[in-house]
Amino acid sequence: MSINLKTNSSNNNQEKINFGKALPFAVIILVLILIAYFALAYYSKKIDAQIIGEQEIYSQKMEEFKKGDAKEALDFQNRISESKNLLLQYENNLDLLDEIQKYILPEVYLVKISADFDSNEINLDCRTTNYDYVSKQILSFKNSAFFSKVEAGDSNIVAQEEKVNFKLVLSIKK
Amino acid sequence: MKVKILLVPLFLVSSITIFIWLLYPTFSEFREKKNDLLEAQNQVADIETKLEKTSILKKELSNNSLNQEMIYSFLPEAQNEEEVIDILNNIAASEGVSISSISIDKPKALIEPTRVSTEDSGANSLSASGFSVGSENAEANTFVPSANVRNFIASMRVSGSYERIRNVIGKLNKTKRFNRIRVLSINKNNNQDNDANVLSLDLEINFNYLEKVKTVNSLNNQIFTSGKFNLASVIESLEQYRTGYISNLNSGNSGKSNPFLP
Repeated sequence: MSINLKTNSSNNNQEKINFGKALPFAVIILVLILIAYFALAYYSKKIDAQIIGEQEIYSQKMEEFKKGDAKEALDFQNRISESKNLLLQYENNLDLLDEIQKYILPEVYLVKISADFDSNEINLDCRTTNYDYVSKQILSFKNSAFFSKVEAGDSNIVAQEEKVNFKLVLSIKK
Repeated sequence: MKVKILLVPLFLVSSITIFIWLLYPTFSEFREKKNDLLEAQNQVADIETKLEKTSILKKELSNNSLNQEMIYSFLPEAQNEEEVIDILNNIAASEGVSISSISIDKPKALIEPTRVSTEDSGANSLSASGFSVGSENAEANTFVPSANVRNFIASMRVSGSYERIRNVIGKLNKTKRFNRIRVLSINKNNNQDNDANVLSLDLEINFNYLEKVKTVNSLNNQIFTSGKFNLASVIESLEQYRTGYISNLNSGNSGKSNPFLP
């Protein structure tokens, strides 16, 4: 047999105390959440309008930029950049002639020089009186630091003129 | 009383539901929009700065017309064949060598570009971002002009003494318009006079030009940030190496009733 020690009146008082305190808090929380939601929604729309405004300003400024002096400035800068590259290709072609003048033997003379500066290959058609000078001429060019390679080409004797024609292939050192 | 008991949990559940389904997504969206706005404002500020820098660049261009002229003479906007013929003729005439022929090929782009701009859509629409080559490092690695520089070959045959031929080559190396001798041939047997002192010179010379920029596609070029042209070293080199002939061609009087009359 169980004995209930609680009276009805004390139960009712407990209910009143609990709900009397919790209900306003629950309402306040709900209201605050709703206020926060509507405020955020309102400011979101405002920010949307601001973003559209900024984008319009940007588009206008971009048009102004494209149609304005930017093209001219960019063109000039491009020309400077490309000129720098072109200046790196500067070659003084007289250096080649100077070097040939310096290393050619007095007994040898040129009939033809062909220089391809893309491949840095120089073909010389030379003439002299005997093969002794042919070998000396090859050695002389090999003494030049300007050339990385000296190769002997065909040679032949022209009996009527008592001359030796010979070819040399030189490479310019880079 | 029973309804009152249900109200508190009902409010709490509603609060949690509204928080999860409405407030939190709206707050996230709001935060993203705030960032978007900030980005948009930064973009506007950036373009405004670049517009200011562009005005400074424009002023610099106006104030340095001599430098501008030097650069445009060195690398013109168009092929200008008449200028090439004038240069070759003038140099030959100044050295007293006789010209046998001059011919000019059609222009072509270089086959082996060292760098291609990322937004480039052709020779006429150079992208602003593509030319961030303003930086020294990028340029240090390049030895040939980009694909945007057009290249054509002029050939010339002249005859004269060795000394004069040397002078012709030397003067070509120093003309104010960029050129580079590709092929050089000096021949003793080709001369018609059979004079031992008269040689014939055959040259193949590369000339270049760079077409004018027609559109600016983006803002990402270094000059729009720095607001100044990286000009000094180029001008110095041009002043040092390119001191020779500059074409200043004038067509003079023109027009006659019978174009076949000599």
